[in-house]
Amino acid sequence: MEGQLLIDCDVHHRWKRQHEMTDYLPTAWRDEYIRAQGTETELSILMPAHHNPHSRGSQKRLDTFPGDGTEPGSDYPLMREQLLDRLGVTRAILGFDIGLEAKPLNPNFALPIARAMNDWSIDHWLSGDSRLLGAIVVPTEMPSDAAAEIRRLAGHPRLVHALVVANGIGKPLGHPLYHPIYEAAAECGIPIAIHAGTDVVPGGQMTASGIPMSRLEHFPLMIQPIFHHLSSMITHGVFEKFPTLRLMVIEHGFTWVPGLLWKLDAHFPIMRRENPIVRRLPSEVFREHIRFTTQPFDFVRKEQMVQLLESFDGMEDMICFSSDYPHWDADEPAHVISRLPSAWATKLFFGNACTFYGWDPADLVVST
Amino acid sequence: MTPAEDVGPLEAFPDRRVRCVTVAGRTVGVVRLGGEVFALRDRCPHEGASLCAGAVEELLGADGEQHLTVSDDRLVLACPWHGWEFDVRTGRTIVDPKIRAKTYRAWVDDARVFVEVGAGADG
Repeated sequence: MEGQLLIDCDVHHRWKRQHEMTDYLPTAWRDEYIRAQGTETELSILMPAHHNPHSRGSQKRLDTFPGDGTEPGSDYPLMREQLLDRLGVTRAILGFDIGLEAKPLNPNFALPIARAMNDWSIDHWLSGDSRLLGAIVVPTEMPSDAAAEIRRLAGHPRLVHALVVANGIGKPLGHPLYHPIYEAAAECGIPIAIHAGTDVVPGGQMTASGIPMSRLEHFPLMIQPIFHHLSSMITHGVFEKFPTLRLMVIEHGFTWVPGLLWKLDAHFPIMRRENPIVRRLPSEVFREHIRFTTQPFDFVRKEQMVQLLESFDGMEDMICFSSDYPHWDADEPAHVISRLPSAWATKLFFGNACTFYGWDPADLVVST
Repeated sequence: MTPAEDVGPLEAFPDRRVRCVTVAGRTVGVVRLGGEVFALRDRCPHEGASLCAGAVEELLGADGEQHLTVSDDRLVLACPWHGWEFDVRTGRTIVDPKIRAKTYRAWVDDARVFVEVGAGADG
């Protein structure tokens, strides 16, 4: 958008060939565990996930295929042309596609994979275009290993949050099992990010009552886990125990926020005794510690959207623009702001992200 | 009104495909179905994607027994981004006819394709 500072909080990048990333694995894992001896043939790192594929054969925008047989998101020149330069993006946070490789079936493989992904990302994507920032993907099901990876990389200037992407343990994220992750993040002063799709992995549960029978069901319902994860984190005192912890909720949209927080607030007076560590209304905890990205933006009339958002105080301070490029359901900034109060543009497009990540807007440069 | 433009021989437009042409400075997707042609504006009304980058498909439906049906003569142009389906004849989306892509007059004359854009020509 011409003349507009624009931070895109969710962009997906990936390797052109898997061995680009697996070359960063320790020798034993790379050469003995996943590769056929003496050849380039290797095991696919991505485990089967239980979700419904897109009926058109791809979950990417059709125009984002680079044309060399590789996947969307793997081609920097094309990303620059279609997203960074075209939209005038000032900063873009890269989050792999979507990082589920960090949840292999073998838990002992999780940290080596996560490290390889992070090292690959730093070398291949975060050493050039200064607009590109990245995530530290962590092996969520091995919280101590995840904490070690956060501590290893949190000081990198281009890594902005720790990405919790695969819930292989099958526990809600407020469970004390995960505390080492939050402790490390809080200690290092970086936020946690949860991306949609956490529970499509073995060990997780994406939807109640089993796997949906169609993509149309899958897509709206795939945000179900976040209701549990957020309720769990809030009511089990994660933000009380780690008062400086911040959380970015990515690719869940946000029209569900009022309903969930109203329910939590309504029952808090009655059920507070279960969790006396929580001393504030859930919505107060939410407003202080949690932000979310806008995509996928529900296609409703503007007046409906505004009425909903204005019914829950402070929404304008919590939304952060995201495109989700190159996925099929990516959003355009002009489309998003056309359905929100125009006065929200500054906060939506960069103000809220700057506050959340501790950036000074004066350091941002309008991309020309 | 901008006069109609000859955009090329019919044979240059593959059957059941979309091909982009420029007419009076506008980018237009031309879809051929046998001896007929249809023209739509190259812009999805949802979020502005290029419809020319989309896919022409036979309309998929279902009969009363929930068996899938494929239409021989009703084509849709599906947006490459979010997959919205536009009837190539009317520009209207299959799901909600109130939403539509702009259409233009297009026809075949003497084996050549003509498209007319401009005041009064926009569908």
